[in-house]
Amino acid sequence: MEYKKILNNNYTLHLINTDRFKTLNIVVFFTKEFNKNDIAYGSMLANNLVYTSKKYNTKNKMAIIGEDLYGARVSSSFGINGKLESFIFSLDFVNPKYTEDKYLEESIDFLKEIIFNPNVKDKKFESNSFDIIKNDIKSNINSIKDNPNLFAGIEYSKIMYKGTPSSYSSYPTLDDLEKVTPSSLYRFYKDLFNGNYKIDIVCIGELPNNLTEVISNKFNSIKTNDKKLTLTINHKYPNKIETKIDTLKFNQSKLYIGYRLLDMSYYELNYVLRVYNTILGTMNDSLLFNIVREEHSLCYTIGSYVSKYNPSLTIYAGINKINYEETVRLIKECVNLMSDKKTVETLFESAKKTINTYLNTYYDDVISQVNTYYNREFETIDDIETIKEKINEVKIEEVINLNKKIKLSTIYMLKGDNNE
Amino acid sequence: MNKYTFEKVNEDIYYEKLNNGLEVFLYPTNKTKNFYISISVKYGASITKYKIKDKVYDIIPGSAHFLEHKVMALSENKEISNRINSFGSLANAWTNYKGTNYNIFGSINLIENLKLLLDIFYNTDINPKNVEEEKGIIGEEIDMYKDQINSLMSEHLFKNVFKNSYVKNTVVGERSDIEKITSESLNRVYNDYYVPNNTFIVVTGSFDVMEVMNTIKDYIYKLNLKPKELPKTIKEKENDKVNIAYEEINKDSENIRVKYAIKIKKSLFSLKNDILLRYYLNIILSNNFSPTSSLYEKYKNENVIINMGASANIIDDYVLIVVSAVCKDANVFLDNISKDIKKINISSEEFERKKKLFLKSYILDFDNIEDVEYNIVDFMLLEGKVNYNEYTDIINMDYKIAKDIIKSLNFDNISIIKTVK
Repeated sequence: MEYKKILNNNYTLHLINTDRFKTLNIVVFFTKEFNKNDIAYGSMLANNLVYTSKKYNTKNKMAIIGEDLYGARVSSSFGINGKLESFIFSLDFVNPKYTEDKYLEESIDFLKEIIFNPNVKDKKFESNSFDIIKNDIKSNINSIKDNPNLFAGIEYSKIMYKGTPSSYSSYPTLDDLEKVTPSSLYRFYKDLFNGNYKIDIVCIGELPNNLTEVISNKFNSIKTNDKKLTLTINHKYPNKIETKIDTLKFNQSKLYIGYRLLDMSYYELNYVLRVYNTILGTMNDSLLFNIVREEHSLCYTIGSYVSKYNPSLTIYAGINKINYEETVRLIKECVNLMSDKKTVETLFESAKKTINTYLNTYYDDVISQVNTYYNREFETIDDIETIKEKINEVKIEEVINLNKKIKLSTIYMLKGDNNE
Repeated sequence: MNKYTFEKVNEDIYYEKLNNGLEVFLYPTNKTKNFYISISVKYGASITKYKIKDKVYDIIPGSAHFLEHKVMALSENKEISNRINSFGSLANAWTNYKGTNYNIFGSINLIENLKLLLDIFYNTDINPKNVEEEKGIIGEEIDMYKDQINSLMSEHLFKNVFKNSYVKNTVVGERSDIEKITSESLNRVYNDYYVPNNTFIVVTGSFDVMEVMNTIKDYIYKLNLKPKELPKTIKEKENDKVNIAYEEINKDSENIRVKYAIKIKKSLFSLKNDILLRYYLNIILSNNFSPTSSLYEKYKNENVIINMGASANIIDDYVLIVVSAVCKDANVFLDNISKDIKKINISSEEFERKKKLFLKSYILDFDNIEDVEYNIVDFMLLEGKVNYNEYTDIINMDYKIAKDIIKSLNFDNISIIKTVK
């Protein structure tokens, strides 16, 4: 694998040249600081641009060109990551060496068409597609309550991360969505290229020699912002533990327990916490899995994850509503056990090996590699082999001591009650 | 040991069938640091009744999946579990209608991991106590699926379309089913189906072929496992007509969901290869009902749907075509689809374009060792053999056959299910 970074006024180009994959992926990121007023626009724009374009002005024509290019796909999304928001346009297509050379330029033209040639007339997005997408998004918002995992995750985040970008999901409110018009969306769209966003283009695959030139010819009309951006949120969590229970008609209840992380160093957050979280909730024999699921048969799904940019640890489980108190008690017990040397010792070395296995999957995963090089624009990320070495050096005492910096913050349950 | 090469991508598989009937597939590659090892048994939730040595047994629905939980019961076997963890490997298992798969994903010490997976598979302890303890966990899993609207609707639809087929039961079963499962019933199924000539091993990743093959042979020969008579699956005769033509499910959800299913006798199609028949049908359905179709666009423009898709499945002697939609008004959708489904068509140009998607998928499957494993397992469970000439099969797919298949479609045998608030 060979990595090269090219900086210019238009964009930062990241070239990851590897023969590991039979696809070529080109991902364009537009990034700026999060603004909650952008959510409705972000959602509308990301969907509009891939629905139709000026040249492919029906959904069917858009689909046909993708199929013609051996299933070339352009996906677009608007997302919130730490303190930042981003539009991501991602093209993937089969390496032309397996099809025909002409598909390189034609596939990149497809991406270019979607980003730069929207279905716009008189400075307004075409109204038919616009209305269809608005209705779809409305419907998606109203359907959140039909998906217990999604509903619970969103409601938990509202409490846990109150007052920060992480408390918002990429689903806009109905009121905000209503305010978006074909012309205001166009004004928002034009802003993508006026130097307000940092623009990164990440290319990965067995890259053809002329790729830099092809990209340069096709992406020369944009302007990047070189202001330094950062992902990390300085969230001052309240000391009070927030508890909330919502009820909807489901069979199963969803439990989320959030812990805030106090003043962790870069080393603790990136290395010690990784080992801690693996022992607590991600490895085969994690404490949560063994104690809550296997020993007490209280759930099928249980685990934990870390949010690095709004430092917190979340534990989730799918349970029966009658087991709420017992499950919360056992989860707290599992967290307490992370201070117990004997307990941690039994899983410590295995956890490091498990992390090693997870880290090795990086080499097999296009998205992980793309995101790593993109995120390095905003934070320090060691290379995988260095991460492996540092994980290996983590001491058991460091993991145990980390428990002093982990404080319970939120308990949320979506109570599944089919009788209510 | 034989070597087979997948066309176009030039990827090699090493294969051997051992004396006791156990089959081994090895896919070595140096493009990854990881490995994926699996052992699969050709026994899944589709077997509901069988005969062996003149005795007939009924299988309680959910048994194959319950058995999977008890075979992969790592928390009950601390020694194996600790050793798997000591390598940092991840063990998992899954069950579908056609089979059950046990797997380990890891990056160090493949040989030891392989032996541990075989230990798990061949040293199962199913007793009354651990069977009772598992019921709470599986009950939560059942509830989880019942909360997923799509999964719940498919469950009802299968029951409505088929009166006697295995698909009338879900893979996980009902809570009332698993209450009836005992250690005795699970041990019987384990002894009858988990036999070498009903089992195959797949190893993908970075490794030495001879070392892995010799390890498997040594292990299996030490166990002295002989091939056994395989049980004869008893299938109840299925009615050609759908069982229930219409059902409403009460679900207080934002949008209405509809499934429009057509049951067609497989014998009506002249193409007798199930996998190819499914490919053709999926191309035809994609062309007419997927988000890339002109009908989809028309429905969107006329506010008939929020989204729509279609799939074709082959279940025993029947082809099941299902058009699924999310919409605001089920009646408007049903009025439209009942007419438009009879206009199914595809042009030669559209057919050739859709074939390109299959070729893309074929080429990309080799980028990931888990996908390679999954495809081998899928071929084995569905067809009993791996097709190394899939590329040629796709290239040779013929527009005339697609047209013939369209002519054979019969739209009279319909079952509809929809949600109502």
